[in-house]
Amino acid sequence: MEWKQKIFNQLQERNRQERDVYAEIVKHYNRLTENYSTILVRCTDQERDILTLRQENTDLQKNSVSVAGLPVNDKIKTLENDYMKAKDEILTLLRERGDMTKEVISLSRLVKERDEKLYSEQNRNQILTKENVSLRQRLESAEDQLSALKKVNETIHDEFQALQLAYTQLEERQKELDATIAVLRQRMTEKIEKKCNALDEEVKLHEKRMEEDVKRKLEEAKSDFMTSTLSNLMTSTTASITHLRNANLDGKAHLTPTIDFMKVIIPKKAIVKWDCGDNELHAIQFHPSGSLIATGGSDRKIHIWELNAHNNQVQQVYVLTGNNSTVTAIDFDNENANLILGCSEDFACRVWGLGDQRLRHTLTGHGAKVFCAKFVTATLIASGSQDRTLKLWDLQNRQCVRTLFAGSKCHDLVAHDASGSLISGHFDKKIRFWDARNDSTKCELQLQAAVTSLSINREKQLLLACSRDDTLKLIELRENRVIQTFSHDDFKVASDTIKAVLSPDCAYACAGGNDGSVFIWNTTNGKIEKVLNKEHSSIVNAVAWHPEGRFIASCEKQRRAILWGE
Amino acid sequence: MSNSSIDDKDITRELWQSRLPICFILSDEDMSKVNRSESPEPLYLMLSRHSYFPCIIEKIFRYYSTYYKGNLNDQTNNINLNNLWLEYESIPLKWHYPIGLLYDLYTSSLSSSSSASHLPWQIIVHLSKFPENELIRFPDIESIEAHYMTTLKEADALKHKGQIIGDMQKRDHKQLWNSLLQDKYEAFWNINIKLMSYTDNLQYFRYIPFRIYILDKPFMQKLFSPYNIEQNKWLTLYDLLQYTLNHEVQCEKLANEKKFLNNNIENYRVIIHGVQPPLHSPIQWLSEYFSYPDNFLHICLIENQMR
Repeated sequence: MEWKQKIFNQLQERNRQERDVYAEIVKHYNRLTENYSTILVRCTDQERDILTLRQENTDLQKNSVSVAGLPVNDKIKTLENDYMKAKDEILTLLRERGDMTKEVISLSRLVKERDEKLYSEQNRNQILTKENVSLRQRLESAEDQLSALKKVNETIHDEFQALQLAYTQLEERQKELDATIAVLRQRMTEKIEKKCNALDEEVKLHEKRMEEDVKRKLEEAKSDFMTSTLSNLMTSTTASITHLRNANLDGKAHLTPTIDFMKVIIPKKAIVKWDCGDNELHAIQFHPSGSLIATGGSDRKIHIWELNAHNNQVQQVYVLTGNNSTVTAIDFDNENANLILGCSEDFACRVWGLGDQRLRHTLTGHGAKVFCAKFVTATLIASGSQDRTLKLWDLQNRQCVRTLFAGSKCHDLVAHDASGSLISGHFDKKIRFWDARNDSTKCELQLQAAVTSLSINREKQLLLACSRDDTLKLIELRENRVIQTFSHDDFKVASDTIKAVLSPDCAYACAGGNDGSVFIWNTTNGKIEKVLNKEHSSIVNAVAWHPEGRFIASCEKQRRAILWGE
Repeated sequence: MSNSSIDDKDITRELWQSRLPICFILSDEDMSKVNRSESPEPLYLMLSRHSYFPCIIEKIFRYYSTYYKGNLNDQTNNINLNNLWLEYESIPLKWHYPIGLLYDLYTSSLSSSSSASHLPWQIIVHLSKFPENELIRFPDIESIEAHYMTTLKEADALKHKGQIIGDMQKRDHKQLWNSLLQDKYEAFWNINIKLMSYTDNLQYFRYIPFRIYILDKPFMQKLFSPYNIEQNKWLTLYDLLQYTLNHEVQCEKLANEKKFLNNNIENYRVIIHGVQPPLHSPIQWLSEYFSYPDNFLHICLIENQMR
């Protein structure tokens, strides 16, 4: 089929020549002509617009030209003149306007300043009025306060005057009373002397009579029967003597010796030595009459010993039981109620009656061992304990009325006055002064070591404190100041409960050491007066001075108690 | 060497994609009557070979009428669609010929060199002085469509006694014309392929529809069968041409014409669709695949120039 091929080739060739070569060119050419025609159209439109605008312009020019008419130049001149005038006017007006605006600006500034001033003035005014109001208020309140204070002052003044009057009156009364007391005292002493003398004389007479009697009887007996009646007489005389003595004792048991009757002497030797109890002795105390000694120790009993002053003998009178543990301290009441107070390590204090030896009260409430207890009054007891509290007990209610929290173990306490103010010595080296009205310490005194015992004198002016640094300190209570320190080379404080005492007239201080010696210092010069040794064999736990000052009793750990005297 | 697998479809497709660059230039006397400052530029168009000029006459007139905008109402100028006529080398162009045919006929004879030098084909547009004697006025689109359908029916009458075209619906006729106008190859050949079928138990058309054109002469159309039954062979293009020329000379003799047609094929160049097919190509094939869209083989015979 090569004819087909030929035809096809020819067709392709023809197409190439006729179509392909010219197709693109014709297309582009047509596009160009289209663009060209559109541009022509736009051009003609714009020419038309230009023509119309030109036409309008020429019309306008024609109009403007035609309006001027023939006298164009004159018109122009007049117009120019008018124009110049108008310009001048405008200039002047502008200048005036400038000036006016300047004035306006300055005036507005002035106004602003005035406004500001006014505003600040108003502010100040407000502040000042506020201050004024507040000041007035303060003034009012101050005046009120002043009037109140004046009233108070007046009342106080009145009270003061009244008190002053009362005071002067009381002073006068006191003077009178003092005078009368002095007079009475003198009379009493004279009378007592007389009485004593009379008694002595009577006794002497009585003795003389008795002796004469005896002599007579002896002579009679000699004549009759010598032996049988003699012994009877002896017994009767001894009985009568003891009866007399007992009568004296009973009488004396109700009497505390007078102050002036004290005659403190420094003992020189041991008079009586006796064993009391089975175990250690911790406390020894004289009855205020001086005729009874109470000892207490680890045998849980309080032994009451009778002191026979004339023949210097000590006899056990009775034993008080009821404690469940070691007795740590003993106290007698000073108000003739005949009560004895014992505190022990069984956390309780007990009160016995001396006449009937009956356990009156048991005061429990402490949480630990009770180290010390004292009668404040006959119905008020103060006790100090290892549980770091002090308790005040009322014997009428049998209740603890106050508990003072001391913060440290109380080793010893003394009653400062009858209202319940106490002084206590503690393990933490402090002596605390307690106020009767509130539960806080009035004052605290710091020492160098733990305080083991306190002892106060009768006038409540001097306090003797024994401390673990092997010293005794004498403290003056008006200023709470240590005025004397007593020590000795051999004096060693062995335990926390060593007791030291002042002599009844505060001339001497006495304490026992751990080697068995008893030391006596002079309180005025602080020097050791006497050392009583060689009698005790172990630690001297407690010492007590006889209320009349003639004897010292000391007890040691090894059950021995010794009475020292002249 | 030659690839025998060339499909007939390739050839028909190549045929369909034919384009001619044509340049339309306004005539001088019409140019002088242009009332715009600019003279119109020539109009270049790529036109399909098997299309007809009346199809684009609207476009040509619209393009040139813009230059006469102001004077359309002036009757003396006669600027009118009806007055538009096309001319090539002072030959008014007949509007009922396909464009490719006109081009082959008129340009091929003008020079001995290849026809490519005549491109783009410059046609002069006249808007006045319509040659009443030589040309019928350009019609509207509907007339061209009617002419096309008539030609088509004539072709089918020759091929199948008009059976196939008569059986086709009006819709198919419309589709043929519209796809021709809109340049739709597939749509056209969907219907056209029916017209290329055989009837009456024949393997060929009854008669081949063809026209032979020679310059300055009316076209020749004869009855010619593509198959020689007696000699049992397919007839070629050469046979057709020979038969036609001889028949024509005989007719001239019978009519006592003074001058006779030259019936020696050697003296002529045979151009169909702008190409010179081999003369031994079977005519049946040419009729089926190488016809114009109106199913006719328009064959141009160009006399070889005396050198």
